[in-house]
Amino acid sequence: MDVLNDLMGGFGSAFSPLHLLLAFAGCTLGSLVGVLPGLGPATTVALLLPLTFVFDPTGALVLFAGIYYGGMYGGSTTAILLNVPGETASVPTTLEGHPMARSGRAGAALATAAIGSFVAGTISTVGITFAGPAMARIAEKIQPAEYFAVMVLAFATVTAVVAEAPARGLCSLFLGLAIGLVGIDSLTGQARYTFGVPELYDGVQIVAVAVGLFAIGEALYTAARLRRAPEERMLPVGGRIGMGPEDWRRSWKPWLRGTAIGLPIGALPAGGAEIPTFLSYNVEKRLSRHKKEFGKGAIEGVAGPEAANNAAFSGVLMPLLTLGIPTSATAGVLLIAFQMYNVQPGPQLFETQSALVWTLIASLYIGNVMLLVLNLPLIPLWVKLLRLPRPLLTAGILVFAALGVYALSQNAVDLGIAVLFGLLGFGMRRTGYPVAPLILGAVLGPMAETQFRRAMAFSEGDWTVFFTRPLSAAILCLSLIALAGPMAARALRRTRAREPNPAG
Amino acid sequence: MSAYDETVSAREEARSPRDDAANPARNDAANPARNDAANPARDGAANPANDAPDGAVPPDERLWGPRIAALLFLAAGVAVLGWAFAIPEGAIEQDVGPRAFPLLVGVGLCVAASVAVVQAFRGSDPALTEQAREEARLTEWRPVAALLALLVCYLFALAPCGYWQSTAVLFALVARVLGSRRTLRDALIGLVLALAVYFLFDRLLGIHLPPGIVRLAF
Repeated sequence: MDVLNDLMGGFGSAFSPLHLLLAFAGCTLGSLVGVLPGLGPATTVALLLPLTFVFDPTGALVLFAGIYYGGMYGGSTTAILLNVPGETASVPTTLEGHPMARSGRAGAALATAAIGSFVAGTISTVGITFAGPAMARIAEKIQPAEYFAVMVLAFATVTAVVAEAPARGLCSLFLGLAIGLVGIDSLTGQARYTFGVPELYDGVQIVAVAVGLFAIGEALYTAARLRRAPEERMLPVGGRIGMGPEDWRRSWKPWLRGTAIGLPIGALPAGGAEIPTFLSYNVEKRLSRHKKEFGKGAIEGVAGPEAANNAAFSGVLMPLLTLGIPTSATAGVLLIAFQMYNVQPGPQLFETQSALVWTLIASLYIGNVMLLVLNLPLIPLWVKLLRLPRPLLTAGILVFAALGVYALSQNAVDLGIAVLFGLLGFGMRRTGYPVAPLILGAVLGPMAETQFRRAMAFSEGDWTVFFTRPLSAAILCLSLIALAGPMAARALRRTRAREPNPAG
Repeated sequence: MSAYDETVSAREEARSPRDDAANPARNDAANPARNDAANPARDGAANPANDAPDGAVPPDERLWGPRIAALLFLAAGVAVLGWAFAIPEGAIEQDVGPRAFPLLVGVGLCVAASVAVVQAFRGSDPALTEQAREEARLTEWRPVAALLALLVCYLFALAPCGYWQSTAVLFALVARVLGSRRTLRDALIGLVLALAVYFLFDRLLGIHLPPGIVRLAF
């Protein structure tokens, strides 16, 4: 068994004292920052991104595996105790978890979220272990036209998650693609959109973009409504963190169902975590014998979506590692981390960076265990952190955001770019433009262009190549469906709603 | 009841739970909805009114945010497209030069932004309308402007004044702008934090941070 040998090698490396320490630090930092209200996993990873460049690539990625899981886990804590979802995927958790906390069952909600995340994360990591190398072998055979089509599909699904407003999602996506264009064209050496600024020849520093959009944007958003928005009151954990026998009985099936929903959808190069969590919530609601409790704190409604969320998060690593295609904002920021070390995820990664990949996968297993045994007892401590005054928290976030960007290049221009993108992120959030498509466009844009031009070179400049190759055409059709489908469904719903009661 | 009145009353209904902070149950029912663009409940509340034949809402001066944003996106699209033509196609005979993809991106941005402009001006997106109202009600511009000004000063101050000096000041001033009134305490926390970061990064991890012109003993 090649896979098992490789995995054992990975564990051998991951169990070194330094890597164990890094995994621990990652989990702790991730949940520490992720528990801050408004800081979802993507923001957490972006904020902690610059910490890693002190370490060698393997160590840094081990740290990141911990931050990735920790950030997500911290997010579910705020969803339950504070009723603030760090990102769209945590919305179902707020629907059931917060009512549970309000009726004094916060301990059970936090426990089912944590154990469910552990179960889902571990099963999904097993999935990655065995399916990852196979997928990489398939990915190696993909031609540029198909590769480009798959990226278009990823763009389309990420944009379509904000189905209410495909136009605004697309605005965000294309702006991101435009940002990715800045710099010297790698094939011809032509400067594009650099306006003679030498700092821009290497392109816009993507870390500055991510930190600006997520962290500084969030700080500005907090500042804008600090005094007028009603302060979110945090509920006390109240009692022991743990579950009774009844909770276990009601939780284990939703965990497994959530995993079964989350992993395949997340592993598709079109997945993301939003669709599986909402799907899992609806499935649990339909299957539950306690339908009346839904909306008032049904434990199934926390267990299922949290498992689905975590499974999807792990599943997302599949297209990220084997194709180099991130399908969520958080995965996009992770791809930035890889690129900072000149590690390009993609079909060759399992061969060229075998040791690194397997150490990373091994530390996913370790991270999952660590989060369970560490975080569950430490939650009351994280919760105390939330009691710090908001002005100080925001000031701290800004200090670390600025530090990260500045330390990266010792260059005030990058800091200026980050502030600019902070303003952009703030404006976009206020006016209903999603930022996830932007960051994906900026990260994936250069890759998409390369594949696009390769495909065009193979076809000798024939634009129809993307539609005459059957696989590529099929994937592009799927993208169109992903974009147009929600719109059509909404139009249909509207017509139906109008029929029984014509014109008021 | 005219379409206008219906719109207003539907909006009031949609808004009232949020104003009703004293009622935790209703408040909480509304909270996830605010964060979830796809929430059907809110859609349902706002839809009947907005499904009036022309699909438009009456003009409202507080809804300029989405309009300005859409126009800015359109301007960005035009700029991307315009500057794409400034990219030389390169001397080598090629199938696709450095200009093709920028043109594609520019056209895409222009088209998407045009749709967004039309939507924003017609007000045909009830979820957006509702969100814009909510934001307009809650946003204070003064702290945002102050934070931006502080950050810009900070980035110019870093090199001449030094890392820990500027960071300590930044921390205290940000906290003050955001309403903290215990300035002495904030300044102390800021100073400790900044010095800790400075020693950790500059001395221990070897990542250079500016010491400032006036070098102190350490």
